[in-house]
Amino acid sequence: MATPSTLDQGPSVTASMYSSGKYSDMTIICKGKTFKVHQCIVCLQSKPLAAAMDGKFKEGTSKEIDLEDDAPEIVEKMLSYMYTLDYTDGNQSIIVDSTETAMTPAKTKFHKKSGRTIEFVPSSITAPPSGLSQFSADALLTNTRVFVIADKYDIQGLKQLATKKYKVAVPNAWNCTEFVGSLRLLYEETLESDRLLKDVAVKTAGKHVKDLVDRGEFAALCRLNGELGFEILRASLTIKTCCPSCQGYGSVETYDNATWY
Amino acid sequence: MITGKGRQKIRPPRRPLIGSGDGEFDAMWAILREALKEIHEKNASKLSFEQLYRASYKIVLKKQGDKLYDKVKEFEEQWFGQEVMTAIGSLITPNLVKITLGVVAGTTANERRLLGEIFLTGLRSSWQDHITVMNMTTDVLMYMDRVYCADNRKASIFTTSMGLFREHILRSTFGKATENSGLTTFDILNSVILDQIGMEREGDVINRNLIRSNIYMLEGLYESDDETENEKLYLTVFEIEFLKASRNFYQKECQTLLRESDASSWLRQTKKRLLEEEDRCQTTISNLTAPKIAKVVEEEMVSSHLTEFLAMEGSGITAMIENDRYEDLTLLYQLISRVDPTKEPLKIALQARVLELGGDINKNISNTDLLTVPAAEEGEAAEGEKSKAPKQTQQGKQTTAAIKWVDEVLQLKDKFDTMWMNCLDEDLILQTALTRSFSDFINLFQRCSEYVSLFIDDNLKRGIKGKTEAEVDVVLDKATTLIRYIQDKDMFERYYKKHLARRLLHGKSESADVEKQMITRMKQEIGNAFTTKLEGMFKDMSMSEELTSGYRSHIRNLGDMDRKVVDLSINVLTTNHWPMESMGGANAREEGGRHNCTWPSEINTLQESFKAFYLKERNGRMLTWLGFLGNADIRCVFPKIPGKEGVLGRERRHEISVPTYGMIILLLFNDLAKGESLSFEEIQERTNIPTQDLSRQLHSLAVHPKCKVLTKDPASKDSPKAGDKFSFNEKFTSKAVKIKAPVISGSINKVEGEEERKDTEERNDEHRGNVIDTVIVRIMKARKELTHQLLFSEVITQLSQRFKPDLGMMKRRTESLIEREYLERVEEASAPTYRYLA
Repeated sequence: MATPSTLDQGPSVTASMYSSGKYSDMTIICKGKTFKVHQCIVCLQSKPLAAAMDGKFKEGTSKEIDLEDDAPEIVEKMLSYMYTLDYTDGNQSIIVDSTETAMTPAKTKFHKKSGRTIEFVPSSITAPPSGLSQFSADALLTNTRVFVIADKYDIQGLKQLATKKYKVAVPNAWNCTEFVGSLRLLYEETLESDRLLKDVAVKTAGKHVKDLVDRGEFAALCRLNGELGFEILRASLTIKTCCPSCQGYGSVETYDNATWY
Repeated sequence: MITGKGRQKIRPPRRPLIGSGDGEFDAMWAILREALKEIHEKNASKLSFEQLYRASYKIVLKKQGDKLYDKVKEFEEQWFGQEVMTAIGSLITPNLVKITLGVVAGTTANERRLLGEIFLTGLRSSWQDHITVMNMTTDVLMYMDRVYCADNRKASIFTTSMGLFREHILRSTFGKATENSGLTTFDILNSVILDQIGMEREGDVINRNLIRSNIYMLEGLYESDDETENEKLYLTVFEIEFLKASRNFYQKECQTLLRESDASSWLRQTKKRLLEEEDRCQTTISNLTAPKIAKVVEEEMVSSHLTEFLAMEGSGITAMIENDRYEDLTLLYQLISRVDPTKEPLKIALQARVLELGGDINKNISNTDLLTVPAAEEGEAAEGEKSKAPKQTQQGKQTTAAIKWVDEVLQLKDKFDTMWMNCLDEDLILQTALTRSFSDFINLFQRCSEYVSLFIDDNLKRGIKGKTEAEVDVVLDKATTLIRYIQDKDMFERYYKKHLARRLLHGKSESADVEKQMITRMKQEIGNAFTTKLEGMFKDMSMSEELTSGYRSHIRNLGDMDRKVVDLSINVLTTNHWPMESMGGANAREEGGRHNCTWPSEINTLQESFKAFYLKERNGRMLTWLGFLGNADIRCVFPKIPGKEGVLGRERRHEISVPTYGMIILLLFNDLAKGESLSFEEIQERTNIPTQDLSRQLHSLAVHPKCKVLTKDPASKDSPKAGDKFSFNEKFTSKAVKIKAPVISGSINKVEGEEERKDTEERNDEHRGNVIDTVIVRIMKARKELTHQLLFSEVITQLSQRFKPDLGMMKRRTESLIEREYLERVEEASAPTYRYLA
């Protein structure tokens, strides 16, 4: 075992189970990629997967499940969560307002990945940056897709985590195509009653509606999905009539009678 | 959520872009439908769960959950109608229906059992198939259940399908045979299961597992789709019928037992039935029923005819106690405690039994009392006939009887104690009841206080000799138990003091240690007030020992060796602590106060010397010498008698131990010349010993052969009386050097004679009177005014520790207090009331 420290022994044990694939008794196949996993880890956290393994279907005997409709990289994040209670979304903005040494790895990583050279600009919540936001923008999409898969396989903890990570990334990346993409995903791939992540996204959209309205893809999405448009409208009204810190919506009467409308 | 309303208004029509086309739904439903069919036909192993789950997931995402839900329901209903119901229908044969209706005669139990088993097996397999299939269906539709059903508050597919089973199978009528009768599958199922259980109760072997599976089915189904816990079909449909049938069964069984069996087999049968039913709930039906069916059995088998069984001749509770049928009693106790936490019937029966047996003991003793009295009066002839038992005086016999009484009471107590421990689970309620009954019958016996004290006396004198500490403890425990039962603690105290005084003064006590233990126990049991005087007695004894040795060294230091040395050992008794009247000195009472005899001069000097010594340190005390207590060792020299051979030809020296009075008498003869004699009157005049005591002393010195140092004239065996003459017996011989003069009475504790007893009671009553006076005055002083009723009940409570006051006596005492102007009657009060006069 790599780290004999008793404190983090638990996660490290399961992490090594995942990385080595040893004693695996279940296989997840996804678009040609194979994951050797453990029923005791996976099935205890996901009821549908458990049903597949326990039932009298094909999967029950072969102990092999083909998630042909899901993306391998997202499945990988889901499994990472199951084994380590965390996954990476590529976003680096968490450590933004720290010292420069802390920034360095982020910079190098950026270079490696995209191959583009961009000056590092410290960002803040009030002034969305143009450069670094690409990390966050990618993270927005990743987190949303993780959220969707978590919903599909009924993993509540993962939904929470994805929402948390989305919240961290969104202030840096709301003004991107990816933000609009995440909104679209949310409205197509989850049920309307599932408010967890939607509330975060809609609120952000409402806050920045003036800027977003100029983006072609945003306008197109709103036109296409009236429900989404309406919710964003209401969110923007709430922000105008209430203090921003207030999480609740304004009452119906307030915005119905507003002269502005 | 406010958004809900607005959203619905603005919801866009289904757009092809979101992919909600009907075509797509139909394609996916086709897949699912095909799969459901496969599942129902048990061919699921080729199906891909992932594909099916995804299909239902997509449908729900496309907001077509409602459509899917309805389709699945429709499919299930169809399947039921076509496949399952036909299968069940074929199970319900006309015969089965007839049995249910009870119209078929002539089918044997075995036929019925086989028929029932076929039905149950069929129903079970259909249920189990249904469950398996529905579990798989539910798995496939998991996303719909979780998201769609939860959001729209629809019963899950599983629940819905359970409802289908309930409605279409259990609540339906099948086949031609049932159509007319209106019997549902439920009715048939109930009747079959109950029939099978009935067979098992009769001793048949049935297939418990089969029934259990069907019961599981009922437990898994609910009255409605809400699935509330107390609406399980098991509870609403089966259990009621089961309890009803069981009640009928046990009613009949109990009647039969009452008619044909005894209490013993009733107990066993009931116990067996209870165990059976418990077992049945574990293995055949549901544990939920266990307490309810137990209650039915308890009510029908135990409560309903309890008293009849208890009263059964030869096997009822009397016989159980009589013959130590511990097993029966244990069972009885267990059963009764099930139905009645107060155990009232058992309590009453036990109490009655204790009183009865205790009453017998009392009666037996009273009878021996009556028998021995005439026997003793008839004299020695009668005594000679009376076996080879050692010669006993009448009183001695009674003492034995007293100890026998105590022994028997203890035996009875032991018997019930063993029973209590073995059979009654050391039940506290019953213990209290038993204790009360013991106390009741013991106190019914008038001499209990005396007898118990005698028992302790006997044990402390002889009984504990050679016993280990543990054994002594047992004896003391027994004694303590008895004391606890005695109501008139003051009487007991009186007797105990008397007996203790004798033990102490005559050195009869076996072990001072054990005596002290006994006192400690009584202290714990009755309280400090009770034992202070007893403790005082012990203190006096040890003080006296110190005094004696102090006095001896005082005498030695005087160096006055010329005097005739009389070795004095003294006991100084504190007047209050010792029961003077009852210790001896027959006439002491009559003459009022202490009787003083005339002491010989030698003794007088000794007394003076001791008195001086004693008062040196304790000024102002008064010492009274009690002649009737104590004893003396006297060295007697019998001269050789000339002309005689052998023993008489030598001078003989003997040490004679006599009571103090005896010493006084003997000293008189020191001064007599040879051949002279003293008459009874002369002796009395010179000694001033009371007649009765004198006669007794002379009897032991002049009549009794063991220590005949005086001769009596006329030499008869009669007790010495006035007119007799006494002289020194020079011819006295004895083999022993040390002789103890036989004691006629005094030092041995015996049962009191009638007169003595009356006396004791009178004195006790007198004492009680005073105590009652004090208590009344104390109460009235505090309360100023009190009704008669309240005052008396208060007095009784306050005195209950010591004795149970007699109502008449209380009335008399109150009267006398009014006369003495401590109290007055309140004239105007409606209820009789007293007022305290300061």
